[in-house]
Amino acid sequence: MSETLGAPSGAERVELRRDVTIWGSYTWGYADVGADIYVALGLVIGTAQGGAPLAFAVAGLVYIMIGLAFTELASSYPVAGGGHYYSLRGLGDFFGFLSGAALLLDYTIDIALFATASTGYLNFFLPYLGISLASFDVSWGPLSVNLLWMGETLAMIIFLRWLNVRGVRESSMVNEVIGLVDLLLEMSIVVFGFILAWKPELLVRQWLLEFPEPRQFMYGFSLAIISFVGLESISQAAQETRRPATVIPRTSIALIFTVFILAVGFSTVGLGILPWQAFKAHESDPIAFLASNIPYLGVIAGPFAAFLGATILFISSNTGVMGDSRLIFSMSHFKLVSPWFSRVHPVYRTPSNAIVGFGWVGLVLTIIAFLTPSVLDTLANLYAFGATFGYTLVFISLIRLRFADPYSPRPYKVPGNIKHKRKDGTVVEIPVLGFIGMAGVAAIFVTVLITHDIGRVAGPAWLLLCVGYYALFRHRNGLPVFGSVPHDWEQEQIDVLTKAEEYELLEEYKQALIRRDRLAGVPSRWEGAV
Amino acid sequence: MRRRPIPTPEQFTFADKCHLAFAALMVPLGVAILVRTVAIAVTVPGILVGAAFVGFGVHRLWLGWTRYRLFRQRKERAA
Repeated sequence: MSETLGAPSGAERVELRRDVTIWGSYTWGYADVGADIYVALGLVIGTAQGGAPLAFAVAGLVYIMIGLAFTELASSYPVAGGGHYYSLRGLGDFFGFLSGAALLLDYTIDIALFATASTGYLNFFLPYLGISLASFDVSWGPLSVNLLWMGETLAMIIFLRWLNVRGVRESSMVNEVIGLVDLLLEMSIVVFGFILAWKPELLVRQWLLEFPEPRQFMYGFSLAIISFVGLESISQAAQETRRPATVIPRTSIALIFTVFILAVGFSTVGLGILPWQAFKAHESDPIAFLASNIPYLGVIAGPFAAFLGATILFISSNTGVMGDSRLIFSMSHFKLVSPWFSRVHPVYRTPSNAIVGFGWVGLVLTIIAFLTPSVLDTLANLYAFGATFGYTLVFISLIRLRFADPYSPRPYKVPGNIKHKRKDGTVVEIPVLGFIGMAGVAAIFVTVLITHDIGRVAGPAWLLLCVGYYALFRHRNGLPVFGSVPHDWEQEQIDVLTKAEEYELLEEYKQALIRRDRLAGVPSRWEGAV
Repeated sequence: MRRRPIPTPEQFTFADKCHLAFAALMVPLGVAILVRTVAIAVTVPGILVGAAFVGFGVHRLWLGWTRYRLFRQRKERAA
């Protein structure tokens, strides 16, 4: 991804170059979402046991609705910022900040979680070198940590930060190549697993006899949502995507269904090859473990999957760094956080303050997580909290924007709408699926609060800390804490569509605004602009 | 999404043929999963994954076939 981030001056917004193609957009998303299964498979099968395929399927159905909501919003508002921007437009500054804070938590956890998982896959090779990972376990009273694994992870995070401060110009091409190879590998594991090793009687036995208790299943189901987190990367990259209104719906929908089929396919093939207890024992490298158990191919497929897993998880961790910096850049532009965060490095022209600042947070979170009984489970807890909270706000924003901004052209609309004519004559389409999706994701959020011991404490604590900072920052700068500063969203939308070269949509938007003004009997400021 | 017609392909490439071949393989794989699972017991994951493979395979076959048909029509018009 080539970046042209520059220092923001006054009201002028720094522009990101639009050079992400349709394949680039797909692989950008896939490098993020496709990596999730490398982490989630072991965790979800370990908790949902024989019910893991159902847990993935139910979470996947909610994810499809989340994906469709993101597709509508990202193609209608193709700017960097993702969920935070939609909440800001739909619900105002405070909720825009809250959504941004949840996303920041997710991106920061993304860095820690995927770096931990990436080194976990690298550790798959340790036995080949005659090294035992367990020999690096150290205990201090109730606390225990694996020093080698933690050391590797911290080194990777520091390396990523350094890489991003220096600039990440080549990463889009790397994403595309790795994304393609990984897609082929994941599909091969599923297909060859079904052909060569799958025993339906084992799947059926685990389904019928080893289905977990309801609370345990709910925990697994709420963890399964992490295997789908990351689709918003496409919307984060929207400001750099060529013809976003055309490209984003295609790539998003293709990605949604690819990831859904792979997640359900992996869990089904996995439980038809191995008992769930085997996955629980291999939580750090489940895909490599599964691949190594495929007859004939396992000797090569296992190490290859481990290597590829380590690589794609590393890239996904990098996506977290990029997401953090882009998000904070957008938040700073809208006066939700201090401009200090968006200051760019004088030599490398990258947002170094944001990268280094959140790097420290990521490092601290990683160390704390390593001190808990299961590092991956702890990080996944927080990841699930941030994602479900942010997604709930995105659904509310989707519904709110249908009413507040019916004029913006929507190249894609979430299906299942009821037309409602308002008193002023405008027609609003009420998104029924949006309401169902909101209820679904809110249910997962409540499940996270009920079943995740760490997520329900650390997640709200993070949000409270962020809200405290926000209140202080806004108060000091004479800005309303719960209210919003005036935004010229109409001009903003026109600028966005112009820069995206979506001229058809631009005309459609201006005509809609003129019609609205005529109906209201007021002169339209867009009249001469058409 | 506004329904856009499938663009007429200028060439029917090797990649298109591969897509068709993979799609054709997905359908029997899905059927095999469905039959083997249902023969033991009716379970949600077996049916879901089997049906997904069949559905996805059929969709890809339809897409590939439509592209091929459009390509042939274009070729005939050009001739």
